[in-house]
Amino acid sequence: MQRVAVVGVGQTHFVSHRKDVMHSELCFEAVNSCLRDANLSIDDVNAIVFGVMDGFDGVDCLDRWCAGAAGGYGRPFMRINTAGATGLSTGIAAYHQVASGLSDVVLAVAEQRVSESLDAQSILNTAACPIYDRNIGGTAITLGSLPATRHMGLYGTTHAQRALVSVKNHRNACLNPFAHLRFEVTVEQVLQSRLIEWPLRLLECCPRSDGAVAVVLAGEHVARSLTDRPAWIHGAVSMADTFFYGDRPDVAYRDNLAVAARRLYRKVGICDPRKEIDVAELYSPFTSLEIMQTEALGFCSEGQGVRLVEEGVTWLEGDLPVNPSGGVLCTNPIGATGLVRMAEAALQVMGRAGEHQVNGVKTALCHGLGGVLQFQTLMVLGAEPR
Amino acid sequence: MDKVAIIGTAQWASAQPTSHAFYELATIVAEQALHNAGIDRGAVDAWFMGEYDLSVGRTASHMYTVPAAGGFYQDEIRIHDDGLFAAVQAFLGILSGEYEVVLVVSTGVASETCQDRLSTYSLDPFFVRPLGLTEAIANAMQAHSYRIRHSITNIEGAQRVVKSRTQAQLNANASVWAPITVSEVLNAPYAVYPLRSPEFAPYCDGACAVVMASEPVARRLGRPPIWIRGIGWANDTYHLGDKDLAHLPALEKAAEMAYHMADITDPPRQVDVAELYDVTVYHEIMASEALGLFEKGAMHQWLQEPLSTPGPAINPSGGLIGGRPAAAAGLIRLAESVGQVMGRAGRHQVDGARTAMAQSMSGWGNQRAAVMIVGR
Repeated sequence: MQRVAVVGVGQTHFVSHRKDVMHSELCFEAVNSCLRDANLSIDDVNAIVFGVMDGFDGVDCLDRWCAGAAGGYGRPFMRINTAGATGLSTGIAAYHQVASGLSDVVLAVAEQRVSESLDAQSILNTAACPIYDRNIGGTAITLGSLPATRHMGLYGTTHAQRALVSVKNHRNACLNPFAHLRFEVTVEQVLQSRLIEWPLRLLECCPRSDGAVAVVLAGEHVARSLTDRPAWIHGAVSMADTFFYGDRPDVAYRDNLAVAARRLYRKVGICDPRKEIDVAELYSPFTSLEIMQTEALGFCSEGQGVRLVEEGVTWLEGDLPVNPSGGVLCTNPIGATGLVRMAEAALQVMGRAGEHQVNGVKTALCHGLGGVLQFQTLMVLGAEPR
Repeated sequence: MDKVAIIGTAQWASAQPTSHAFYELATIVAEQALHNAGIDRGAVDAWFMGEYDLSVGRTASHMYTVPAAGGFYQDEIRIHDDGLFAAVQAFLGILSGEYEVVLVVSTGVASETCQDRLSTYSLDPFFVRPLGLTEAIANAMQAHSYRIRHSITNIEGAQRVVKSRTQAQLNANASVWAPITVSEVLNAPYAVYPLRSPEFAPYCDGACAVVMASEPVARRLGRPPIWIRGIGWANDTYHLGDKDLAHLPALEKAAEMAYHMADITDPPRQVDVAELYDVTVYHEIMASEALGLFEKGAMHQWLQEPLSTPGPAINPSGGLIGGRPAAAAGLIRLAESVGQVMGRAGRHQVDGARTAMAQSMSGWGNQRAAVMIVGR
């Protein structure tokens, strides 16, 4: 057992379609930039953990092709796939590998080229049971629109309130050089954008992105020798819920995330998340989900999520900025997204987030989401070891 | 280093396409393994799944298997590889201090789709996929190249098939029991030239679950636990043109790592049983050599009398020739190894087995390998 810290991160620029490089080359970009960032060479790396979700890339088991580019030649190599939660599950698996004491330096790499599939939603639909669920035509967007409607019914949330989340995240993305959609929007523009699935409009939904990300984790001794400001991992949890959506207590889905968050807070000793967490990077592909996630994570009480964004709390200058990178609403390389959250949270803790740096970050939370709002992964990183 | 124990296992396999949904198999083996371990679901901290998506024709297939295996409101992770890799990650999860008890579950319902056809989709679409290569062709190329290198005849290969089938007949969890003769093998149709169909491991439906626990938990249960003594896993090149096909370098690396951890310096004498991932009968021989159980090429002399091979018992269960339930095949090797050192393997029990080794491989030309050594 040993303490673990993030000592470097690397991201590619996320775009709609990376035509100039192949899958393995894309992966190589992120890995190289990560190793440069940590001032390490591939020879210093003991093991690789690789995450990608199958179905989108036009290649099954992409890890086999990309293993060499990820630095996996002749090294221990572990392939993770937990649907949308893949990215952060990859980070958590790497964390366990270093914490076990068996490895001192482990590289977590995740990649996705959603552009290789003509329609991401039709691929996501293959996850549904072919007998009971597939024919109703549900998509990942349904998982944003149903809870959005439920939230409107329960708490009177308005379209304009949800639009504010989009305005905030798009503004943040303009400050993040790696973000996919980098333009500002107004509430009016959000409300007038094309209806995708009621009540969600185009600017309330994430894009589909190509890109890769790498995060290098090190044991305490190595971490201290590399940098005087690593991002220490305080703890992580993951959570599985039932598959069948009808079995959930509420489509507003706060149960599984709330339970996961409580378990994590207990583990890392957080009593008041609103006060003790300085910044959060959440897997929020729809405006509706970000609002409900902030409630489930205990940043406010149930139904008050819109207040946080209305009162400026979750804005970059606010008390508890949420998705300062622009978040998933502006960049979504599905299987890599969770690891991007971890990379961004680490950058915030290390004070190296650049223009979207939040002042004085001591504790950062990151989150991954997968399945039918079924898998929740959470990790807390801090400036001091716990 | 802290110790990790295996406290329960369960296997399920069927040669006929199963009428169960693939996730029901996860329920069957998870319940049975927990029962065998003498603990209930509430004691499990985390679920480690080892499964492929496309082999059941959908993306994110663990969305079904995790809850079906009892993973509800608890930690979960899915290793998208053979089940033995999930066992490796589970072992690390316990060593990290995060978990006390974990359940490793692997399902492989090969009858859902055409496995060999699907394998082509993991080839890069530019350089290799247009060649029409399949996993079976890649494995046959390796086997052939090994045969040529060590002058192994087709009769010797056929004898190896007879040996494995004979062993499988003793294994209640094998899915292929039919006996076979050397001449039947030699007259069987070619699957991929120059290999005939019985020389390949036949795909089947199956599942496996393994319960692991930290030392304090294992000791509290009051039964002699089986300890994980060493693990190793490694990855080699992806492109077949980049490697010597007659070797399994990833497996050599994985073995080196596992032996180092288990403090094994003389594998032929210190390992009693090896359960190997024999996608073809020749891979059984290649793997035994890569693991250092026999000198390279030296196993040749034992092919004439396959049942009286000295040294460690190789695949007493019949190995994958007795059935290959896709991603579950590697985890079943671990369950078999545990059964051997517990002395509960049944009719194929090896006398006095104290240390056993499970091994699996995946990818093109068996690009990736995992090894786990267990002992009393």
